[in-house]
Amino acid sequence: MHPNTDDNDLRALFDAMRQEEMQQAPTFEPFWGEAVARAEGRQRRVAWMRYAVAAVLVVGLALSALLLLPPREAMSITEWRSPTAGLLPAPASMLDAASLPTAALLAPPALQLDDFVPETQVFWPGEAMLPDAASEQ
Amino acid sequence: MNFDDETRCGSSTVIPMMKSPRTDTSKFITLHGESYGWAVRCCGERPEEAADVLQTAYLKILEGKARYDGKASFKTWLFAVIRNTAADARRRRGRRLRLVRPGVLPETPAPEPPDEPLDRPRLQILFRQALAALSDRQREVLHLVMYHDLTIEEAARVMGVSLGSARTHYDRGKKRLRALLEATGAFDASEHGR
Repeated sequence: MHPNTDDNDLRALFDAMRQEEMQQAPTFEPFWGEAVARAEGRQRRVAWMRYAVAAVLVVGLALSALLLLPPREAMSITEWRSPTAGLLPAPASMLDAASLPTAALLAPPALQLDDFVPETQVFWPGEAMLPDAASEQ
Repeated sequence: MNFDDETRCGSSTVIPMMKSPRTDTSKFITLHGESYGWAVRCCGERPEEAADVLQTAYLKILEGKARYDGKASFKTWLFAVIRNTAADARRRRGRRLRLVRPGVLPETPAPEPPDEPLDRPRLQILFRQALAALSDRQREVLHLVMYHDLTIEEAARVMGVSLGSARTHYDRGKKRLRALLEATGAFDASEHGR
């Protein structure tokens, strides 16, 4: 939509203003050239910044790993166990000492068979039928 | 309608215009004078600030922060970028955006209506003073339409206002400018009164 064209008087004043200002306008090339240089410089700075951030991250991760992980203690050769030793368990080692009442089995029983035999008279039924060894002699 | 001149390229920052070795700068060259004039206007008639703003606008375009999407004319888009860049610069400095500061203009006493026709430089001074007396919106739309030959619709796009609002500012601004020029004797009321 174009405004009406009855404003030639005003337009003439604006035209005169434009002609005056166009003569004072700086040339394009330095403007554009400097903008391009600034853009390239900024792009380069951004790239360097990214590299720097990546390097700092890597170094930080490495340092934190060194500091946070528990230190490995030195182990004598006699304490050393093969990493695969657990795959070969000895049968005896699978028996839990606490689960077996070995102490009760080894201890003498609380009741003996003799406890049930009367002490006063020892009767042996076969004794009467046996020949008296003394009389035979 | 506002132009989104802050559209980022995303994480992979590229400079689309710089990537091509043969950047088509012909449109920028053609519009450079007018772009500079518009930047001066957006910076309150301060040429040094306008130069910085125009270069920052070019930088935005080179870095792909402002991209022409073809929805409007190239000139409309470029002017919107320049206007937004000037507004950003002004905001950063904590000052209110004013297109023209009356104090910047040459101080002249209120003229008596002359008996003889005014010479051109004198007429221009009166004209600039009258323009400075308009509201920001009125001055802006008049500049875009009469100085830069945009349509009112295009001016509305550059300004980020509705067409109806731009038209109102345009009509009121024109009337007020004419009245001011007649009051100072720059225009003959009988000749130009509409």
